[in-house]
Amino acid sequence: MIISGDPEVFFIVLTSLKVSAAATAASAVTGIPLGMALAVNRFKGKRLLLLVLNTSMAIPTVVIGLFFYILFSRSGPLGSLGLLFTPSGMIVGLYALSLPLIVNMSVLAVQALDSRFFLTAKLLGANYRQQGWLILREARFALMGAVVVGFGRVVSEVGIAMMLGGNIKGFTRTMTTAIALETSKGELELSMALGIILIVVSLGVNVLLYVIQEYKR
Amino acid sequence: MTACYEISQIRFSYDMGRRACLAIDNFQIGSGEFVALLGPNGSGKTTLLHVLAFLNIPQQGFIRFNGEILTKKNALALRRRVGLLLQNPYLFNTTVLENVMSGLRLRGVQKSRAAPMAKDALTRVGLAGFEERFARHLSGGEAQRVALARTLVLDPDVLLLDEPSNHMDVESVRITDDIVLDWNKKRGKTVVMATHHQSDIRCHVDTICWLDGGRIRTS
Repeated sequence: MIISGDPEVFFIVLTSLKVSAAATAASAVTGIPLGMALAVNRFKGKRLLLLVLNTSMAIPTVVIGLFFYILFSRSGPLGSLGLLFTPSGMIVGLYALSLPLIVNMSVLAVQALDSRFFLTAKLLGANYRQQGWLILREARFALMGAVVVGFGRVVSEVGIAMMLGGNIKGFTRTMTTAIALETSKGELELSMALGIILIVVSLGVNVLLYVIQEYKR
Repeated sequence: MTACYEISQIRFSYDMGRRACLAIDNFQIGSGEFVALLGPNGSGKTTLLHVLAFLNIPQQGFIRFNGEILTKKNALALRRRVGLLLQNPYLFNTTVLENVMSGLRLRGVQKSRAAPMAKDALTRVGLAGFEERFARHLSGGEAQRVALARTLVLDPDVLLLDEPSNHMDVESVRITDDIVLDWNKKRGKTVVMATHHQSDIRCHVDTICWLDGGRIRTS
């Protein structure tokens, strides 16, 4: 099925990659600056906020899925948006899954910077905004690692994709939801093909992370 | 000699005033003067240099720099007029050239203009040809000279040096000495150097200040 370029497999893989990439990109754009701000600023309640962020990484994906299912369902507060069982709804759920992870990893990446870095940035006359750009450049490998890990997390999850996407053929079916469905039907050929592709994607993500970490050295 | 720094009744502490790290009643540094700060470890030399570089704003008292009083508002503008070479400088995780250009780029200088200026500064510190090397792969002495080039390229009014010979080999010390002397004697720029080595104090120093427990005693 992989070699013959089965259109169904192709569509499922493409949907998976598209929703995962969109959710990860949104998490990176918002999560990295948030993580940087959390790492460098001192304020009341910072520890509590970090604790909440750490805890939110451990929330099961089905709980996140359930939360957004209630929000997006017809009678829910955001039901009028029509996001349930759409790729956009899946992206919102996957964004909520990857955001705490990327924020946390960004906080760690910035906190791992040498204290002399911040002194040097100030000494060279960087204003607040420029210090942000310098942090982004200096911690780029660790931050890229955060994005890669975030992508790996969302591409391989099944709970949110199933609950918010509904596993609709030709619309919201992803690799993980398709594997779950086809296996339950006894259609192991498609499951195996998608499983192999998912493993290759996961391997690619990990190779990318390894290359980034090696380059950092 | 006009005053470059005028310090009056300053008190600075890192712990919100519980323990004063610096307590200086009156102290002046003239324009073009070469001042050496001497004192044992923990005497407040580095803290004073950070105050003179406008990194730390004293909780009490005032500092006037070339007639302008330091406030929170103008700290960044004043900081851009002085250069501090740290005892153990930090180089950004990029090339030597990018490091030397970084201060210029932060001041809005275009890369096409900044690059030749940075190359010239590297030549002055004896590191011509090091432009594309990765900063993390340099020796301690080379890193110190790159940091010096990064400071000098900004053409600061005042050069502040924190124990400059600590991580340097003999060659680097000689080059740095020549540059600092040239900076002070030929260009008439103010130099303040902190050290705890009496041997670092050469005959070209105008004033020697002894620091002890955050208090200053001028000789």
